[in-house]
Amino acid sequence: MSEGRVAGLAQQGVSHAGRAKASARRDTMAELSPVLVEEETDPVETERARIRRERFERNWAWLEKHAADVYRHRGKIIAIAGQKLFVGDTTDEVLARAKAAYPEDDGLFTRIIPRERGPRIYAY
Amino acid sequence: MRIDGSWRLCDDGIVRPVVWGELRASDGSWVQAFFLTDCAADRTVLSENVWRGLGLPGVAATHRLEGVGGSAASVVVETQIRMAREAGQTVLFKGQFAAFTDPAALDISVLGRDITNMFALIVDRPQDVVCLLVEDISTRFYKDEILSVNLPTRYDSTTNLNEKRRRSQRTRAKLKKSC
Repeated sequence: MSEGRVAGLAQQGVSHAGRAKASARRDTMAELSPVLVEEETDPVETERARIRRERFERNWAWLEKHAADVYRHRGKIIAIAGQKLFVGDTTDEVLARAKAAYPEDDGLFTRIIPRERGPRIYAY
Repeated sequence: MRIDGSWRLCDDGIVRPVVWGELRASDGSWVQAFFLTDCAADRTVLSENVWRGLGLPGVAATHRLEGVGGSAASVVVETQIRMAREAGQTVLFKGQFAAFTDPAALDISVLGRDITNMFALIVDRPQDVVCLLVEDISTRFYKDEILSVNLPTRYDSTTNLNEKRRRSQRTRAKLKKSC
């Protein structure tokens, strides 16, 4: 797919979103620039991204395996790095500890564990 | 173009449709995250933890983001989101994205229609499919049966939907001219 075609789709997508919602939302939409899509052609970057994702998936698999232990930290921020759990009250604090312990793990991630369980409606 | 997502178990035991992505941080590194595919969301919104991880300054948004539970303060950040597409390739979405500044506002980043409107979005729990497809390419893929291994054949109906959409666009254009 050519870049022009993709960019065209981007423009089309944004304009459709604008039409789909009531005018009350129009200002919010307008204050952000349109999202542009670009196909990545650099094989080195693509390969690096693939490796990072693999590490991320390894950490995620660890989380799923230890879900009961991880998700009991209600209202906290967690990070998983090097397939280890880090818990704290702020993202900055948790990230700092996780990065210090596993500086080479670029597949680390953080998560917010909501205080409450139960059905959630995501609509922003 | 095809971007595959998956159904993942969340903290409350609910399985939700997500797409993997990574976001460019201020130091050039990439922050890993899952995005909830939410066709009701007008915009892509980053959760507070993802925004903090980026280390990017946020410009205060002039409007508060509104959801079902009310509104919350947010900032606007300029970054890139990389997602994995078919055949091991990747695609970048560049632009400005909103981010919540309160961790209690959103526990997972949301992929909104500023991105999903560019695709046919398939969120199918019974078939265990989460997928973003660009229409013309996807139609061709269906015909060639390249995707038939993972996607049920009944998604062929997308072809008809796309044709309907094109027809409706043509009608709108004609109406515009005649006005």
